[in-house]
Amino acid sequence: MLSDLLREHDRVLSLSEFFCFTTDFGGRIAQAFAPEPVDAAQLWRLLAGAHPKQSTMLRHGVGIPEMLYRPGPSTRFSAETGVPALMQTTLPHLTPDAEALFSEVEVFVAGLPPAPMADHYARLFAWLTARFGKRIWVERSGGSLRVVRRLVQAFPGARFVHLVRDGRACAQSMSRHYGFRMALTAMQLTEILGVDPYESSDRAFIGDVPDDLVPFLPEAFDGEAFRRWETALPLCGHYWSGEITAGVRELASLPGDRVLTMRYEDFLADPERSLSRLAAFFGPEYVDDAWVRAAAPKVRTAAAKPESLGAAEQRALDDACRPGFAALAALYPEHASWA
Amino acid sequence: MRNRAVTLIDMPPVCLPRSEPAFDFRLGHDLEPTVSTHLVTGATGFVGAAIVLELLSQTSDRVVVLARPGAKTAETRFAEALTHAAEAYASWVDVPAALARCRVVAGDVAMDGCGVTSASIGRVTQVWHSAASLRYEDRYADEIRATNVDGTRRVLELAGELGAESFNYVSTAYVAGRRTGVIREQPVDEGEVNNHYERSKVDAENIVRSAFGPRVRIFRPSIVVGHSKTLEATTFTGFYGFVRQLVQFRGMVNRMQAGLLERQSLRLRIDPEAPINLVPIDVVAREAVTIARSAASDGVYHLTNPSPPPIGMAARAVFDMLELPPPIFVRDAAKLEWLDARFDERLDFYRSYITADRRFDRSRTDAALGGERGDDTAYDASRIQALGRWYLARLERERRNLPVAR
Repeated sequence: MLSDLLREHDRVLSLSEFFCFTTDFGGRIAQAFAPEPVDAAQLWRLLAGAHPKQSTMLRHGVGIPEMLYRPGPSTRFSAETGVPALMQTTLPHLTPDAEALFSEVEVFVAGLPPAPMADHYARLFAWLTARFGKRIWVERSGGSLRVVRRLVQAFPGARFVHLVRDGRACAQSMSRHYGFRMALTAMQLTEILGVDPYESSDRAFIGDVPDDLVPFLPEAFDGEAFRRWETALPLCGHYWSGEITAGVRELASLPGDRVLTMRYEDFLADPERSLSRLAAFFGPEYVDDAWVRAAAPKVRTAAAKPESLGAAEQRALDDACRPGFAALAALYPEHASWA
Repeated sequence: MRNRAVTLIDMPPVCLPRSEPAFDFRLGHDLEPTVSTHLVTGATGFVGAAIVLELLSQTSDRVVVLARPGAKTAETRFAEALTHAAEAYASWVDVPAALARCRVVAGDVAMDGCGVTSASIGRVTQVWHSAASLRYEDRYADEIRATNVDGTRRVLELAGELGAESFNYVSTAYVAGRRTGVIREQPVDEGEVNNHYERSKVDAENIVRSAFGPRVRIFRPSIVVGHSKTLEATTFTGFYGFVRQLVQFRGMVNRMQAGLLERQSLRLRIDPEAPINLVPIDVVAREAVTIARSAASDGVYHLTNPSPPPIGMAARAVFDMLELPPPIFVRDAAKLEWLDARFDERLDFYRSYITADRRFDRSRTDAALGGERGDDTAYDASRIQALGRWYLARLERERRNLPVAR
């Protein structure tokens, strides 16, 4: 939602899901934020690589709404070739002719000297910002609290917008989302096997993998089983609490003027006010009433309904989300309703 | 007072021609008038390799190993397994000299005729069948049956062709299935089992009892752990599987919500007072070989710990070793929270080790051993932690390629 709203702003470049796909749903965090200098070819492999988790999903017809590039008979990339990380969402989100932009980015990246990833990102984002005639860029990826410490280090001058949603609704949304499903099943398989099964063929501990997780191994991937498998709500609730607890700790270490925390529910209740706050946080020159008026009607209504759960399930979900709510309440005591 | 009564198994009639024994079982250990030949299956495995090492240590016999080739030849696999075992157990056996007394025949108990001809092996005196699948998940049901049941049938047929006078079958104390209380050294009936593995071992025992004549010994080790002195092991199921499951679970939870398990005690569905029967690998091998060399009668022998520690103490020791708060013990699954239930699911295979209050009677084993037993089976919390720490260090090396979580 936020990326779509920002894309309409005259001065803001909306970089959508860049880190979601370059980290391959969190499986390549170390590579995506490598501190040592990497050359242009290495950088391009990360940006333009068809990463294994995304490619597996694509081959088995498991898409997510965020994946804007739709392979077809006339497209450059297909399920067989895999879709480059940049092409999943980030570039198609910016222009209808994403393939042409991809070629432009390739030329730009080829000319970059070896540098740490953070420097590469800064140059690339600045180039894209200029390319689209914007003033600032805003990167937004689902679940990016996981890499917030890396982001703080990589972008020491950046400001952060933390859009928080009720953990219970968030968990319901996560449980149905194939991207989170991939991340959470891969996370379990990784700890059992001692390696990320999408990055390594080492199967020394395959005997420890429970039967119900076998269809999510890349070599046995079953798209139907993946679609059927509902990620347990308490698992998503615990995950949410973990992300919030760790994320707000990182954000709390930043000066107050570098962090804006907004509630998703406030966005829904009063989009104009929330959009105005957001623009003001970017700077006075980004306050744009016309943008607010145009964007506000596009704020969607939340789909998840926490109250539709049974009592036991609700209790388990409440328990799982409690640490996250407590962390938010400690940081933002003015919001008594966090807890 | 030790119960000296010996329970004799009602064995079926002899079905193989009896030949002159190459080794006189009536003689004491120090008198070996002739050299015997032992055929060993599973010799690259935990118990099998230890038995070979013990045979080479206690006797001057020859050993023929039936080993599966894999990425490496059968000879290489066995040589590596024996060398590894000798190092792990600080054995005084001279490995090159010991290997010179061994002959490796490439074969596979899952293949017709074990994939060998009797001529390629020659005449043997005793067969030790320890090859087994230790898997347990449903998806391995066919493999477990093919190896443990059909494989045993094939090894029995081979033993007959080779004129073996004794058949030593390495089973498990957990053929007891869901029975509790005192478990006697007796054949098992068709009682309830917990998983495919236990079922396969029950069936294999029954096949062994009914198919082979001259002398059948069924050895039932309990949870085999590392060497009593060095603590080292060479394969990692049972106790090590439990430790590994907990390490994996802790890792999963940490990736999901760092520190959660450090703040919140897990509930475990176990009876903390029930014993957990850990027995060192060297004790298992020594007792099995000693019994096989003695005048002991046919039948079942429990190679188990006579004084097993309580599972509650063992579990607390393992949790403490992993820097987790002490677990809370519950008997009812309804008392488990969502997170507890997820770990509980992962313990399905270990359920029979950790929930049932059972004591393994060792009357026949003790009688066969003539009362010779060391004190190397006592496990207190620090010894359990030492076992666990040794494995944990190894496991951490094996898990060094874990990607970062954030």
